[in-house]
Amino acid sequence: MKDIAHEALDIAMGSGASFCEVRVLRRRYQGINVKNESVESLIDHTEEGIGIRVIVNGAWGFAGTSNLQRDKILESAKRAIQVAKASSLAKKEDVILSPAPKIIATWSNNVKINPFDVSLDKKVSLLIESAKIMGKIRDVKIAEGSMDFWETEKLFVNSEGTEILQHIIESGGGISAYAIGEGELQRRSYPNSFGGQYETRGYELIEEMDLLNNAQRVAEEASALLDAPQCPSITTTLILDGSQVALQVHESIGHPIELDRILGMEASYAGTSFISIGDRGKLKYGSKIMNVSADATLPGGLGSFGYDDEGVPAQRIEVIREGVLQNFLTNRETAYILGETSNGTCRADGWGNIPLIRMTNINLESGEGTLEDLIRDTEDGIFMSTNKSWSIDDRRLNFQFGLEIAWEIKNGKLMGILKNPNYTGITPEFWSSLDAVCGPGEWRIWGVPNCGKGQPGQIAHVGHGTAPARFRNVRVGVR
Amino acid sequence: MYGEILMHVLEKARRIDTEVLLVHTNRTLTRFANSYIHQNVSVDDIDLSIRVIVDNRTGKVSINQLSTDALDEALERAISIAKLTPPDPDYYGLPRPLPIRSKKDTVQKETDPEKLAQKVIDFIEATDGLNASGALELTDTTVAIVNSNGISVEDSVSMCSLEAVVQDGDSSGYVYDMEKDLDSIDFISLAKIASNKARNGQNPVELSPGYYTVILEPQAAGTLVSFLGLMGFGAKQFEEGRSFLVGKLSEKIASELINIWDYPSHSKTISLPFDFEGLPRQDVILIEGGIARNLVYDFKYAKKEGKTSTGNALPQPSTDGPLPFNLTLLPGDNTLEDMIASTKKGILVTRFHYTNMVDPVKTIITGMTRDGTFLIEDGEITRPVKNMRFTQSILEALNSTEAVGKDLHIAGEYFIYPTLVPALKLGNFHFTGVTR
Repeated sequence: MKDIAHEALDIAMGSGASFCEVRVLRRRYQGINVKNESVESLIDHTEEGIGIRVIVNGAWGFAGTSNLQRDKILESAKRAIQVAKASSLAKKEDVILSPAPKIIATWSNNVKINPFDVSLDKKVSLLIESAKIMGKIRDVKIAEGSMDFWETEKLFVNSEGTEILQHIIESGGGISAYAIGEGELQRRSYPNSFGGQYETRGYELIEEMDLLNNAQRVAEEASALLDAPQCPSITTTLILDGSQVALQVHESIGHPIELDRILGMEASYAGTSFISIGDRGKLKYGSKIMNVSADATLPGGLGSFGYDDEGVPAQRIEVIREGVLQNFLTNRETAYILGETSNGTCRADGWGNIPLIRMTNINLESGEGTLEDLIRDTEDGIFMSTNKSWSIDDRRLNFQFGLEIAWEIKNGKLMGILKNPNYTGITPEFWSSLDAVCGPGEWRIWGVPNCGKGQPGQIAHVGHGTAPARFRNVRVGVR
Repeated sequence: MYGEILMHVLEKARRIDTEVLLVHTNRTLTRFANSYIHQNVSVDDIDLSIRVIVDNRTGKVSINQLSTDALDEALERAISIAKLTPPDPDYYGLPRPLPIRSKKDTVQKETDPEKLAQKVIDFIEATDGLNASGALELTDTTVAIVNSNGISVEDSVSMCSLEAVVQDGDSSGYVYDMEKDLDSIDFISLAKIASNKARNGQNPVELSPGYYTVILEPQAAGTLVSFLGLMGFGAKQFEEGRSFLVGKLSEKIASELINIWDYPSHSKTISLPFDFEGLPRQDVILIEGGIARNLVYDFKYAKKEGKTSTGNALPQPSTDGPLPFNLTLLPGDNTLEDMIASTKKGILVTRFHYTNMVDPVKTIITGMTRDGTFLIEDGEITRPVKNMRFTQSILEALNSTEAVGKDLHIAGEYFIYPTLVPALKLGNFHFTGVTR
C-alpha cells in the first residue's frame, strides 16, 4: 500500500499539484440476514482502491480507481489533476488549508474477539435461535436478525509528509419482530432498530447484547402493539429513551453544526443550517442542562478513530455548553475561514469518495438519576422508545420522529402501551424544553451506521453518547 | 467485454450452480456551491459478485479486483461459505436464458471534466448573480451476468443529471433534469426556472396546517410514486403480508385517473433491458384506472407463486425481494398552467425534502416542502409560502387526484430508483406543521 500511495503522490505533485493527499484502503465486510429461521443473505465483500485528492490552480480535484496496477494509478493521478484544473475554471478564491502537523503514525482500535475469527456457524445459529423464539409468539409473522462486521485498513499520505496507517474493526447486530394484523404492521427491535447497535468493537459486542434472552420480550411487545390504543394527539411531557435521544442529537445537532453546511456547501442536497457563522458563543440552542461534545477518542464509539481523513488527530471538542453553541465541526478548508485549525472531523467513505465534514461521536452529556427515577418524577406524560421513522427540514428546524412503542405515564408510573407514537418540534424550542437527562449509569454510545451526506452520496458511521431525557410541552401523535 | 472474466469463474466452478454478476461504474460528478465548483470527482469502480449454491446452500462473495487469483480465491471462499450455510427450502435453481429486447440507449462518451465545468459555468451565469449550488453528474454503468444455466448478458447504460438549487437570500428554487447525454440538458433554461422560483420566494407567508389542494410538480409527484414503489408492489412484500396490496389486488385503491406501470420500455426511461439475474425487464401494469392489478416478480418468487419473472430481480440473494425499477405514472391531459388556473385555493409544491416512511401498510409518509412553495388563489400564483411538513397516506392522496399532467419528467428520491412522472393535482393533502 505504501509504495502505491507514494507513487501516486509523486505523480500528482510532479504534474502540477500544489497539494496532494492519497488514501489507499482495503475493506472487508460481512453481513448476515436471517428471517424466520432461514438465512436470507450472507455476504462477504472485500474491496480495495486508491483515492487521490489534489489542489491545482487553487481548486480541488479528485480521482479514484479500484485498479491498483501502476499504469492505472498514474492515469488516476493525472485525472485528478485534470479534474482540478476544470474546477479552477469556476472558482472564486483559491482553496487554502489551515495548517496541520506532519504525523507519522499507526493506529488501531482494541477488540477482544475479532469477528472475522468467529465461525459463521456460531453467528448464524445465534440469529436463527433468536428468530425461532420470536416466531413462537402470536401474530409475529416475520422474525429477523442481522449482524454486520467491517475490517478496514487505511493508509493516508499527503504532500506535507504525513503518513498514517489505521486498522479499524467494527461490529453490529440486532433482532426485530414484526407482528401483522388486519391491515396493520407493528415492529419491535432490540437493541435498536434498523439493524441494531454498532460500535468500533469486536464480537464481544454481539455477546453482550444477549439476543436470546431479549427475543421473547421483543416479540411479545410487537404482538401487544397490534391491540394497543393509538398514541393520543396532544401536547405533553415526553421522555425519550437513549436510542431515540441519539437520533434526535444526530438530526438536530450533529448535522446543523457541520461548518460546510453552514457555509452553504451542501445546499443542493441535504440543505443548509439555521446556524450562522456568527452564532458561536451566542446562539441559545437549548436549556441550561444541555451540554454537548464531539469526541472521536471515545473507545468503542462508532464514530471513533485515530486520525481523520486529512490526517488530523481525533479529539474532543465542546459543542454546546449550558445550552449555548460553542463550536462547529470543521475540516482544514473551513477551519481556515475561522482562522483556526481543523478539529478533526473530515472523513471519507471508503477509497473512492472525497472526505467531508462528518460527525464523530456527538454526545449529550449525562445528568443524574436512573430512567426509573425520571419516570417517577414525571406526573403525566409519555415515554417513547426505539426509532421507526425520521424527517427534518432543509435547515434542520422542523422535525418529526416516529417510534416503535410508547407508554403512558400517569402519576409517575408507566401505564399501558401506545402504538404509532410520534412527535414533532422545532429544534431550538425543543432543546430549550429539555429539563432532565439521566445519569452515567443510563448513558451509552449508540451507533448510527447509515448517516448519508454528499454528492455522490456517502455513508458515515457515527456515534452518539446519550441517556434518556425529558422534554416539556411536546406535540405528539401527529396524524 | 467482460465475458472472458465471468466465464473463467463458471469454468472453475464446474458443476456447481453459479452466477457471476459484474457492475462497472464510471462516474464524474462536478459539484458547485455559492456559485463556484467546490468539489469535483471522477471514480472508476468494479463490483464482481459470485453466488454459488451447493445442495441448496448459498454462498456469496463480492470483490472489486479482476485478477485471476482474486477470482479464484473469491470462488473458493463462496463455496466454503455455502457449505456452512443452512439449506434454503425456497431454492428453485438458477434461471435459464430468455430473449432480451434490444437496447435502445447509447453510452455516454463525454468524460472531459472541462466540458462539464463549462456547463456549470453556463448555469451559474444564467442565474444573473444569484447563489447557485448543484451537482452535474455523468455515469456510465456496464452490467454483465452469466450463470451456469446458460445466461450470458452484458449491456451498458448512461445517464447525465443536473440537480440545482438557486438561492436569493433566504428563498430558493430547485430544478432537476436527467437525460441520456450531456447535450440534452438545457442548462440556461433550467437556471432561469430555478432563479425565478428563488426571486419569487421572497417574504413567504405562513399558512396554518390543514388539508389543502396541492399541485405537485414532477419532482414532488415523483416522491409519492418512489415511496409507493418501496412499499408493496413486490411479490416478497406481498407474500410476507407487509404490502399495502394485501387483500387489495383487483380492488380500487386510487383515483381512476391514476395509472402506474413499471415501464422499462418507455422511450424516456433510462434502463438496462435485463434485471440482476439476467432476465428480461418486462412492462408491468401495477395500477390501472386506480385498480391494483399486478405485482412484480423475480425468478424465485415467480417460481414460488407459479408466475413468470417480470425481470425485477435485485442482486441475489435479496432481503428486499423484487422491486419495480422504472415506475411511470402515465400522463393525462393537463398542463401545469391548466392545473393552476383551475385551482381556487391551493399550494404549488416544487419538491419534497427528507421524506420518510411512517407506516408502509397504510402508505403514510412524512416530509417537508422545499425550494419553491407557492400559494395559488383564484387560479393564480399569488405568494410564496413558508415550508410546510406533510404527513399523508400516499394512496389517500392519490385517491383525491383531480388532474394529471401531460408532460413526463424523470424525477424521484435519492435512495430509490428514478421515476417517470407528470405533475399532479390532488384535492386533499395534509400539511401537519410549518417550519420557522
